[in-house]
Amino acid sequence: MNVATTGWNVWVPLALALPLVSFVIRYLIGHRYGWVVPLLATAFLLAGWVCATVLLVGHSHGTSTFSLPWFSMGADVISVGWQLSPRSVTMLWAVYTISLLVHIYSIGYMAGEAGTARYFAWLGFFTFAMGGLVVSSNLLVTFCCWELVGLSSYRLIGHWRERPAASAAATQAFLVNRVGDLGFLVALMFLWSQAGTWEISALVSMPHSDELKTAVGLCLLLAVAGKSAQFPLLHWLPDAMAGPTPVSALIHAATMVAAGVYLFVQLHFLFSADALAVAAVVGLVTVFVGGWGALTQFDLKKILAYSTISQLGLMVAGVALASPEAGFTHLLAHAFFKAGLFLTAGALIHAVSHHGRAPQQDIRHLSGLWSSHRAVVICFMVCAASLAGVPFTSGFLSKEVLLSQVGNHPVYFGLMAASSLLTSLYCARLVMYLLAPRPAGLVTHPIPPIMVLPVFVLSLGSLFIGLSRSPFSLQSGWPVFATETLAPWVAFVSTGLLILGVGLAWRLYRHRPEQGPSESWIPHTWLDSVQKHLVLTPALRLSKATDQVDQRWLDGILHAASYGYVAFSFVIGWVDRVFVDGLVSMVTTVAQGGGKLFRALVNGKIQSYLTWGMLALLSFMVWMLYQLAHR
Amino acid sequence: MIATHHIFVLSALLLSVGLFVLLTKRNAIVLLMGLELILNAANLNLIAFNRLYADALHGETMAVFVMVIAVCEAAVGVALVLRVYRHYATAVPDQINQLKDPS
Amino acid sequence: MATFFFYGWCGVIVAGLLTLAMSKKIIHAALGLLAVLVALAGIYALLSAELLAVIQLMVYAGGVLVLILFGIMLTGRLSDQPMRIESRHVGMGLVVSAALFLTLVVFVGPAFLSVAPTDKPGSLRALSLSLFSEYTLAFELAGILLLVSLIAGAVMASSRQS
Repeated sequence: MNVATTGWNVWVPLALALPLVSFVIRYLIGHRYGWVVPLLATAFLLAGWVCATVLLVGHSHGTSTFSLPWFSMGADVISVGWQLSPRSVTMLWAVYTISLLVHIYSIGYMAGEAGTARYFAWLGFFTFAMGGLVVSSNLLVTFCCWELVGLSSYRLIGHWRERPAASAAATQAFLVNRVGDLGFLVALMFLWSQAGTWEISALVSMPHSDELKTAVGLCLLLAVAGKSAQFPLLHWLPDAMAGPTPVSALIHAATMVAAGVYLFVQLHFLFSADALAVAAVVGLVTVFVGGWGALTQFDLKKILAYSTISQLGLMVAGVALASPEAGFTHLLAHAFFKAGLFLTAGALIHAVSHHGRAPQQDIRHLSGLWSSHRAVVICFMVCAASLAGVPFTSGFLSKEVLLSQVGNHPVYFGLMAASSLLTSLYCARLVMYLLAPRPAGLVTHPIPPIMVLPVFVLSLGSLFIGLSRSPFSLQSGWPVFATETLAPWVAFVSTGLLILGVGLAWRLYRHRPEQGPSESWIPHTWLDSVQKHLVLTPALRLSKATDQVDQRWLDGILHAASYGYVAFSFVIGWVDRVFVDGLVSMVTTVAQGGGKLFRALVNGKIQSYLTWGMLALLSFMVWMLYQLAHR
Repeated sequence: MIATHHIFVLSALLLSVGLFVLLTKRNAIVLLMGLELILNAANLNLIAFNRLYADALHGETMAVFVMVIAVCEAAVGVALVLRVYRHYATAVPDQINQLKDPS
Repeated sequence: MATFFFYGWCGVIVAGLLTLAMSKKIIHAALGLLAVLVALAGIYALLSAELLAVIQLMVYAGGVLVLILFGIMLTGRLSDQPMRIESRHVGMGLVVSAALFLTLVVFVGPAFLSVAPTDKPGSLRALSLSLFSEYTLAFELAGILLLVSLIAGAVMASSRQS
């Protein structure tokens, strides 16, 4: 239902513009005052967060759209605008909250580093782009924001320019995202040609044919896979951990990778049953691939990355199999607890690492921090519990929603249950490694409080109050959730699986083995080589071939043309010399010859003068007499 | 009666030979001789055609004056030839060609 | 009778002309000229122009020719040999003069074929009268011209380096 909310329309551009301003500020403030940029950026983002909160509180019901014409192609007008629905308002608020917390955390994390101005600028830009993506009402604008989000992700992953691994990871992320963007573009083309519009509100109300839905659905699925790290486009996410940890928290846990799932949720109505089936398969495969990766890794950030992949797969499968609302619920919960996990991990790594040396990210060497950094470790454990689905956490609630909605299909239910078992397994493993006794000679630094505060807030959000006022149902939760009852037997199944997983982890990892299964089981290594053979090598060969063609044929043609031109100019020169100059010199020769001829008459000899004179007179006489005779 | 036509032919002959001498000979004095021939041819014509208009003597009077002028001209001409001969040490007209085109 | 004499004088003229045109020695050429002049005087007499005949003899044959002889003498002193007359471009001269002769004879001559001359009286008295009455001015001018040419000739022929 449409609510007359013209007054709210001013908050949206304000909320979007404030982070953008913080992006621009960086270029206005000189180098000397660079220390003010982090504070200024955080201040702007705080203001933006306030706008988002106002929107959330005031506009939590109903849908309203606002659009301005942007450009027109003939008779069609493309407009830019936003759509305020409970879902978009909630997502916007979540994005801004996590972004604000990451800003605050980064003030402490990036203190003393060079290039912080650049970092905060791009954080602001990312927030602006993500906000635009969330509230946009026109798919073209969504696509533009999609690309901008990818761009800022590239800049942020590669923030440490001096590390080649970071730049390579940033490029890889960008390129894999491009593959997904291809799907988005093709879907846009399909929609324009068949439906004639890109406005989401218009598309919702139109009927679409099944073929169109299948086509559009598959293309959008490709986009989702690229952005949200679904199989097989998932190997960029672990490598993206080369960027700063707050970036990983914001982008690769909570928001950017969630953009794909968000798009899926928004455009669920454009997917046919076949497309949804494919999406479910992709999502389920991703769940297990990610989970297996999390089990085999020893790098803390990589474990969290694979965990993100697994959870994203779960979200996609949830949207495809259960309902968009279920997937969205899990998206929100995951945003909070994964961001919390990443930020905590960053804090713990920061505590153990020494300045000047590579940061210590191996969980085998991160143990024993319980005694020195208890608060942070507790926050970590709360977030991990939410990930695993321990009751009284938001993760438990969202998993219940998912499982209960697929409760009718035994196969899907079984697969999802197995995934939650896997999740609890690797979560328990992680916690166990972390709680190992402290090795001797471990030197740790204290964690600055500015980094602890956001972590604390996030871990609070990971508890059940993040989603609803009751720990057991969503009915008193945020308005965005569909109110439905959850089957109680699902809760028992999930808790049982949780206990099973913890027990299994205890048995397997009690002694904290130093080695795990070989890394060759991790699919991303051979996925990389597959992509290389499928895409990279042919592309290189094609480019080499075109270069050859260009050099030999095109340049050859140009050379031949230039030679021909030069030869032609020689011919022209010859013609000019021989004919034109010849004509001129012929004239002069004639004149000279004539002159010489007449000059020869003036030879100073009077008798020759007389002779010629007489001849002239004679001819005159003859002519005169002839005239006279014949008159 | 002497036919006028024959006299005319005679004077034409005198004229032609005079011209021939004038154009051909390589001696300045001989050129003067040719010139005299031409003048005499004119005189002959004048006197001959006076017969056709017997009431007046215009032709003969003119012939007198022609003779006078011829004398003057011969005198000056010889004087010139002598002068030129003294300067150029030659009486060959072809070699007195200082007035030709300098190229 | 008159025609017979006329053709005789014509023969003399022709001979003189030939000598003048073709001889190599300059004296012979001068003598040829003399023959022509004398024969012309005779023709004038036949044409009842006695005064003119006499003037011709006195002035031309006696004056001009002598002048020419003096000229020959004065310009021939470089060598003891009498000067030889050479001819140049004889062909061209022949062509031009023959063309002139033919033109006159062919185009102009026929006009006089049917002209009949009248017999006119002797001209001495009439000529003198007309010289002093009708042509007095011309006569005077002719005198001046003679004077001028006399002076001119004398000046130019003098050996002063002026």
